[in-house]
Amino acid sequence: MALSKKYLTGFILLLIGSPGLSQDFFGDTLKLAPVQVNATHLQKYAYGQWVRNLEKSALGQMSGMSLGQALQQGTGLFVREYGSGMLASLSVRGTAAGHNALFWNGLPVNSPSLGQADYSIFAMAGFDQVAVHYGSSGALYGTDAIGGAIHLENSPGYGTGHETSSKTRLGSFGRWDQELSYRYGGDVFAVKTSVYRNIAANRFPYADWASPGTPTRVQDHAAVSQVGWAQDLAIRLDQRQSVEASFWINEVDREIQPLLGSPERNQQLDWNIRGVVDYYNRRDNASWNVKAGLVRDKMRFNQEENLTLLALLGAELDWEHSDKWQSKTGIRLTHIKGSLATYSKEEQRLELYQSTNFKPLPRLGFSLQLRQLIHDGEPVPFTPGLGAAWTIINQEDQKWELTGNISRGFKIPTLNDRFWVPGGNPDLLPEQSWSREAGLNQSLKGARLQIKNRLAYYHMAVDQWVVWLPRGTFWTPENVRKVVNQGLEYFFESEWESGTWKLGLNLDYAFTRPIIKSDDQDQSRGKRLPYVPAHKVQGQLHAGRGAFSFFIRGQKTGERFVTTDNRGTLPAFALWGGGVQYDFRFSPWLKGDMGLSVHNIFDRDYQVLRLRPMPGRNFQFNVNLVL
Amino acid sequence: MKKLTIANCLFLITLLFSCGTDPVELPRGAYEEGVLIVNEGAFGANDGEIFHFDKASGEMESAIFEKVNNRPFAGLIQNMHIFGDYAYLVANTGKVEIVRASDFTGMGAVDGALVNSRSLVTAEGKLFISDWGAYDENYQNPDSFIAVVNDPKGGAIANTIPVSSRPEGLTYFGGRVLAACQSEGQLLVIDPETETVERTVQVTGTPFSFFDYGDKLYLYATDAANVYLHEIAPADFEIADSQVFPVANSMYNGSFTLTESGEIFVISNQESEDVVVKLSIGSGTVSDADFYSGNHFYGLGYDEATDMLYIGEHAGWQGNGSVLRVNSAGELIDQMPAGRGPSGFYFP
Repeated sequence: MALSKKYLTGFILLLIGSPGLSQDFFGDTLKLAPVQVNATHLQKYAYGQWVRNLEKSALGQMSGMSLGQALQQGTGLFVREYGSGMLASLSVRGTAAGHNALFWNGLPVNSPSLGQADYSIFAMAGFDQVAVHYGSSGALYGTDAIGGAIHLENSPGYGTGHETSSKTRLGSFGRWDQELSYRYGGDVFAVKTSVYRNIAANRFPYADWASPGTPTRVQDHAAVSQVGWAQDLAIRLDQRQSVEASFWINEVDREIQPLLGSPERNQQLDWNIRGVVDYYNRRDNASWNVKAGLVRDKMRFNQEENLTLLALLGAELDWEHSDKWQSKTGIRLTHIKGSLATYSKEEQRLELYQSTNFKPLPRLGFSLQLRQLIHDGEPVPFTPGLGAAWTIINQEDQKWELTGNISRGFKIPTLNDRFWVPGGNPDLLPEQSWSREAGLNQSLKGARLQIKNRLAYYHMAVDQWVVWLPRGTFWTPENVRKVVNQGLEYFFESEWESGTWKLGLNLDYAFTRPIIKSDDQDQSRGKRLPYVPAHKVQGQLHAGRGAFSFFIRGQKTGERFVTTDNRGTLPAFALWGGGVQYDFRFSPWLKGDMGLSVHNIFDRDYQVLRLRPMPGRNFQFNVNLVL
Repeated sequence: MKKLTIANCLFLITLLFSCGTDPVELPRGAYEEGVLIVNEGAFGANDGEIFHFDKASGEMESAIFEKVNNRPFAGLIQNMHIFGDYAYLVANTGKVEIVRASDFTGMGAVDGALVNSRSLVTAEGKLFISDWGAYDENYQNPDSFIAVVNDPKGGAIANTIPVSSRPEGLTYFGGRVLAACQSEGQLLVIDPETETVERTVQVTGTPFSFFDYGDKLYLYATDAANVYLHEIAPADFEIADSQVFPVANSMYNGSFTLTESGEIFVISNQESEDVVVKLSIGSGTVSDADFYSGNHFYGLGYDEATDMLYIGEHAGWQGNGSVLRVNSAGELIDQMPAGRGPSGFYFP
């Protein structure tokens, strides 16, 4: 009963903190974990935009998965996977890998040297919650947030008591994922410790199209070994003040799966250390926060080592003038140091930002966001954003909401873009975007059935797009491309209860049309960006009765062009999977669940990227124990 | 039933003998005429392919290897060599595939530990394949070798001959296999029977490949300021004579083409453009320092039948490239879409 109250309290907090339906589209249908859900701060100043929270419980059976696999399987987002467990980069609304910002507890974790993140090395054990911010949000988050932003969050979980858990997953082709965690939540103190080890031999059979006769071979160079330790700590100093800290060490040792037809035997080792400390001071009408963080990424590719260090110090004041006005003002200082194979450089970034909410009517809200970043003393283009949400129907059984947003985004050229030897171009301009979108959110609520729909259209123009081009004897990056992305996003979610049965159906569909408007090459103009499917649809049907539940999951990724001239394509592919789960309770102090799932059930021979085979039908068995 | 079978055989034999004196007209292969275009492919994509251009119809047929063999080539094609009935596709991604030259039907492959194969020659019933070997931590290739395969139709590597770093072009000349090794600027002389290096000849510049002209064998070499044509003496394989052409920044892949009249076209990567420079073997001079210019030039070929220069253009490696056809006056005739990084042309 006490737990139920916490659920209810968390739910109410979520609704109160949320400016509109667009922000809590999935919030009240997911089974909230018994911890404080604090992603609302992402939604507060985002009227007209859409932030989607993906609880681990909603994705299910995700222990041991990487963030890339979770997004690929659980959303309509397209993740470019270079093999099983290999480099995974995200494409949101047809943008490039570097056009999406990734944050861990508010700390930017895109590589400063590459300008993007490898989503395969972020183990799900390192965070509690994933939030996807669709669309340009440069004014809210700064550089890289052109196509979208992904936020990984940890929750302190006050008042939850002691909990020790073990999550084990065994799978085909030599997979063994193991996570052990301990969590304690008292009234003033909360701590969580997780250690994990994920091993995948990846010895899956594949058709070797590069050899005469297309023999079936077993992948022999794609083994992945990952270990890590994630530590969270939270202390309530008094009713108003608290300190939260998170620390994460991650190591991934990978044999790089070779391209078909290549004999390469590359080895990559990633070491990541991330730490962040937040101080919160909450007053009746105002709260402020000071954040300090550090990200150290070391990557060894064969014998070559690259090291980057990012240190961040920020402060933010959030205050409510009245019921109609809310305001957030912040400053962020970032110091970046890179020691790469061919150069060493340091740089400073200073950011000032301001967000304002105005609610002239109870059902109408506006958000205005402003940001100015100064990069090594030079201001990048001023970045504004303006959004609105209008609830046109708000009845007990249905709710309709219109949303709209226009915003600017930018991406600072990466360290490699500017300083790589040879070819780095220190005169590169930041990539810039203007984005606008309109959406309709609708929810229907009956006695047994709940349905939610969201349909959105967006238009995004990205200019000064950086492309590396051969110039003489080496390559150099230049601001040569302009791309206009247009698309539709549709999301459907339903829950149905009948007697002791609970059923749910979720669907994501994305239509993406990124057209190259100008380019160094005539033949690319008017063509679509490569490796962006025009269509991707993903769905999951889940049902449960008592302790048993099952799910069926499917996705179809459309045809992708391979090059910018659009003369070659990779075929579309559809993947299906399913699984069963049984929740058990052996005693008051020991409970858990076990499940069996099958993926790529029809053993489809598919490639996300050309000549990079993926595993066929595979099985996974998981046991989770909670003490 | 048995009687019927015997009768059928007798009838067939009679039919065969009755036709024996008539000329048998075999269907011509689809690729025995026209132009074969080698598209190297982009690093990290392994999308090398062969295109075929029909000069009569003006049609470009793409990806003929994949079309005929129902699978992608999946490699970066460093060179294509045609010896006898076979075309050898040598990929610097460590593989050699053998197809029937007339129709590109796959006939076999080389099995074994090729790493960065560059060129190939047949000699005394064997295949000799130059291979840079793996890169070390300093991006050098100290373990270069020449692989030997005992069957022209491919199969297992029977022997590897350690050689000077980065062996590139190969030729069979005077009963010996000659190898141009880039790193140390050496010409190696290999006995194909004993499969040993007999002697080493130092040459000026970075040697790339061999060609015949006027009953003489030449070795094409370059450095930052010059193009060198070294004439190889047949008696001792020493450098009998060298021509030096002042062509700066010639194409790093060693691409050039030769005409029957002894003209050589090379690409010079200049500051803002790529320039095709015409050299004359006869006079030993640069006959046209700016025959044709443009951007992203990558490969050259010369069609004697039409007196046209074919220039491969790689489109900045952002996508597929194109082929420019230029007449003998240096005027552009047309430009056609090709594959990724068109690097070489063959005129069967």
